[in-house]
Amino acid sequence: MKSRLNELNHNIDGETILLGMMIVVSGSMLVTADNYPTSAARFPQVMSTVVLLGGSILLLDNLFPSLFSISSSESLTDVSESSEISEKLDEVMEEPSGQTTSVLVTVAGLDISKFEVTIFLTVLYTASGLVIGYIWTTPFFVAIYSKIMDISNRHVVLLALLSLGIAYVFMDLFRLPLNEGLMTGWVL
Amino acid sequence: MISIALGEIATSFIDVFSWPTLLYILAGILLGIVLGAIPGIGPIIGIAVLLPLTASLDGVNVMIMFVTMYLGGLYGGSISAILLNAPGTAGAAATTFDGYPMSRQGKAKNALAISSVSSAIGGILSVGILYLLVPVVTIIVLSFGSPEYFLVALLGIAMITVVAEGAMLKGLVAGSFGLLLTTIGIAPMTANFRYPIHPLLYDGLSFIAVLIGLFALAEMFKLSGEGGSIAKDAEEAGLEGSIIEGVKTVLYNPITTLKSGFIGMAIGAIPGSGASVSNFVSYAEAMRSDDDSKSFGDGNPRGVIASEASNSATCAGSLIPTLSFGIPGSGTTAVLLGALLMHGIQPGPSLFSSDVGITYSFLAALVVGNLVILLLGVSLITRFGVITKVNVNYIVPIIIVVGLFGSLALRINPIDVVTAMVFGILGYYFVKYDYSIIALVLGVVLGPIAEDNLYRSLQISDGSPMIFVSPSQPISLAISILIVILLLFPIVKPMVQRLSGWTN
Repeated sequence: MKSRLNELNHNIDGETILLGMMIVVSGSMLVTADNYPTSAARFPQVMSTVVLLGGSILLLDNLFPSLFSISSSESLTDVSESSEISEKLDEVMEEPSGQTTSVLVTVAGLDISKFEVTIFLTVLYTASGLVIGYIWTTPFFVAIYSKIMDISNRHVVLLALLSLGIAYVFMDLFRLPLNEGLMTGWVL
Repeated sequence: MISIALGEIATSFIDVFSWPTLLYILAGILLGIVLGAIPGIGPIIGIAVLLPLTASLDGVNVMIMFVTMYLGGLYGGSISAILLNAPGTAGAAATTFDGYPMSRQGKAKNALAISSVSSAIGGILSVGILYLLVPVVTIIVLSFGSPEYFLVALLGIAMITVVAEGAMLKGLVAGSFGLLLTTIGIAPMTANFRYPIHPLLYDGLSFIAVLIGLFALAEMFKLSGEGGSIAKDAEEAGLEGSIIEGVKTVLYNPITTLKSGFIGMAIGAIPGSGASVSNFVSYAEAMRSDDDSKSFGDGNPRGVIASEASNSATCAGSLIPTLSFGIPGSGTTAVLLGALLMHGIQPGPSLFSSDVGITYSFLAALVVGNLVILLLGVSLITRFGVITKVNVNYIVPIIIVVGLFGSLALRINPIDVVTAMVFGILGYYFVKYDYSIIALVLGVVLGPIAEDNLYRSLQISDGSPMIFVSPSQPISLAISILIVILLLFPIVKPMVQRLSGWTN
């Protein structure tokens, strides 16, 4: 029992959260579908059941890999016809040197992965743009991102101006209300 | 019948050579080459980002631009594969095996010329085969009704779940999750607002925003983690060699070129297995059948021919399931399917009967696109190396900005920006944990079509699901059996192998 708990603790990762999210979403959609007429409920019920069952099996496999071996089930394609080709395929598919997802940048004395910085900045940019208008936040997002990625100051300014130009084109050509946000009348 | 088809083909060529269609083809090829040559970018991001911006333009011309952009991207991927040993797209991965060694041996120009000539020949060959296949596909497509279309949507997801990388169950869950998400919003048959999380979701999720999130934003998140310019890290190869020698090499190896083109075309037609699979299979076949197979990997030009002829041919091949049944052959064709639907061009019978001219226009555009690749590849080879040196840190924030604005442009609904953002993060984790992103996209794109046809089928049969397996509906029955076989095969195969192991 203790070893199972240790295994469970050790195996919780990003995939667990991804599967948990899909299971919760499909579970709630399955329950809610009961409120609709049969013809409107049938399709979401079938699909949410498949996601719920499949996701639960994958979650168990993810948490207790010693008990299950679902994720290693075989694929129909056998691309590599010879071991030589297979070796070459592996070679090519390897990440080029120094290009792993753990590339770090230093922000305020802290080492953070570039991926995390990008996600954080994009979420912040999306949210702040919705609140005050993208025309105001876009140059700042591009400038801050570029600065963190060690781009020279001259190029940071050029990129920020380019992004402002893009925002104006979208506002003018596609009539997007990028100068508006929740604070200035846009209704969400 | 033949004279009508020939007339349509002739008209399609006149159309693609007319203004402004020719401009769309040139723009598509050039954009595709540039995006394909930058490792990590690829034509799929360009198409996803441009998609919402083309809503007001002529649908057929826009589709011609996107199809040629796909073709250009497949060729462009070979430039960085040859010069930097870093394939611009997965479809050019096998090109690195012999293309890069050729560069190191002072034959970069030979390799680039081989790439453009074999790409063009492979591409034109596959379009030629496709012209011959159109009448056969027409007969099949015209015999389909609602039950068949519902089952074909399921078959597409089933095939992708088995063919795509990673485990089958993961693909099945991803595809079903995509189908499930399309049920948010107004129900097509009863006008019920399903899952009313927010009034802005009344019309459901925008599949364009989903495509931008999954293909543009997720890829940018991934690229930002990798960082920098690949050219900066890779040892730069000088552009030496002979273009004429490269062209001659392809012409002296017609069997390898034609065989690889045929393999690329056939694999492209299988849903879920695009150029990323065909270039390896063609390379393996060229190596297997070559008298000097040991020289493969050390700069054998036939390795470059095999990979490049097949990946260009995949483009035409993947249009077969996309245009006929609405099942994309690859990630890029999934976005192309989204573009077709956005521009009101419905895949299926009409594209092979009343609107067959549109299908022929796409094929004619591919022929012209391949000729443009041939001309550009041979004449501008020495200029293309510059593209590969672009630092992705300059591209990432601009694509994020354009992607988010693009997702907003179609409906001017703030929820679409949130959708793109959420699917961007979701897409990153899907790729990271080997969940098929194509299955998810296919679910989102095909969801409304599948539900609509399910509803109509059940109306025809008074609610009985037997319509899908009834012997009186032989096509439905055959597709149902095929789905079951596809889903059970990966489970049954290891069991059979284990049993045969015991008996041995």
